[in-house]
Amino acid sequence: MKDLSLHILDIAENSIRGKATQLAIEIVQSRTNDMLTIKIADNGTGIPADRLETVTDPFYTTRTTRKMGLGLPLLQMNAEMADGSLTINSTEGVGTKVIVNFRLSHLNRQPLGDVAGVVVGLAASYENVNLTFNFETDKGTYQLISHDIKTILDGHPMSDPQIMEALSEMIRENLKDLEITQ
Amino acid sequence: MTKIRTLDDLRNLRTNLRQGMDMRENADNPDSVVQIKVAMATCGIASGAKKTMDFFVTELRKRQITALVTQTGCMGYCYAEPTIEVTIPGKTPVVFGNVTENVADEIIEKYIKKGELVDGIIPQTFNPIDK
Repeated sequence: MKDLSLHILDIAENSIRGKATQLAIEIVQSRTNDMLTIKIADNGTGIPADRLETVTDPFYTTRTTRKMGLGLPLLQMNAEMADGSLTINSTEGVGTKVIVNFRLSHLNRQPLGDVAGVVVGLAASYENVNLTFNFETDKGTYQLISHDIKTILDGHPMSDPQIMEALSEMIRENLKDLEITQ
Repeated sequence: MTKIRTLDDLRNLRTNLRQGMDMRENADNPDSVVQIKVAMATCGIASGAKKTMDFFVTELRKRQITALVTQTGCMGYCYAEPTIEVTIPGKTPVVFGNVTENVADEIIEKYIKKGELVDGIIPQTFNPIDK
């Protein structure tokens, strides 16, 4: 993965496959603590306790179409390379929460990438999933809830490219005010 | 176009779209417009599927083609990522593999606009993703 937004996209796709209807993506960037934290929480099927150990094993997957599952292991590796860590909390039938943190100033920390585009892509593709996006920096916070957008659009599909571009722009502009660091 | 910063701006855009002839007749019936699904699992993302999706979003708007662009999970063609599925109304969905920006451009110009087939079709014994 070239940047952290692509990791977020990847992990969020896991939630979708896990039949989530609520998905929360939270990014906290703190210059004061020199820390970047990403949390992805869903209300999907959850991971059975005896499998939690194996999800970060690259040769473990629940899929039958291929033999490996690299999403979580790659993210864990990138976090550890940047003085960070990855934690997964999951309860079967309740949901899963992936928390990953990085040292913000670490040379090996990947850039954030196009977070706005990722959030819009997810919201537009899975309109039935209520996606909450939170971004917090030392300057303040920004929140967006996909079902609010859905209400405003009033039946017009979010996956219309005109809407997607406008939404990405809206998020980007708001994140700019929060002084995000790539 | 003025910059969109708030949900109110978005509401205005929505009103403008409604007034324009755009997708009005089609909004209630997504089957009547071209639909593009980009496979977006670890394999796809790592191969640049996000870039491909961005390309479609930007270019379809620029070229004023009415279409919907969404992402989906792994279609099982990890060797040919990025893969996309294009559904033209009334036709069987077609899956294309190795869709870089150049190929995406060709798909828009030839397949979506004119209905001509282009290289890179993944032959089908196939089950279209039905999400």
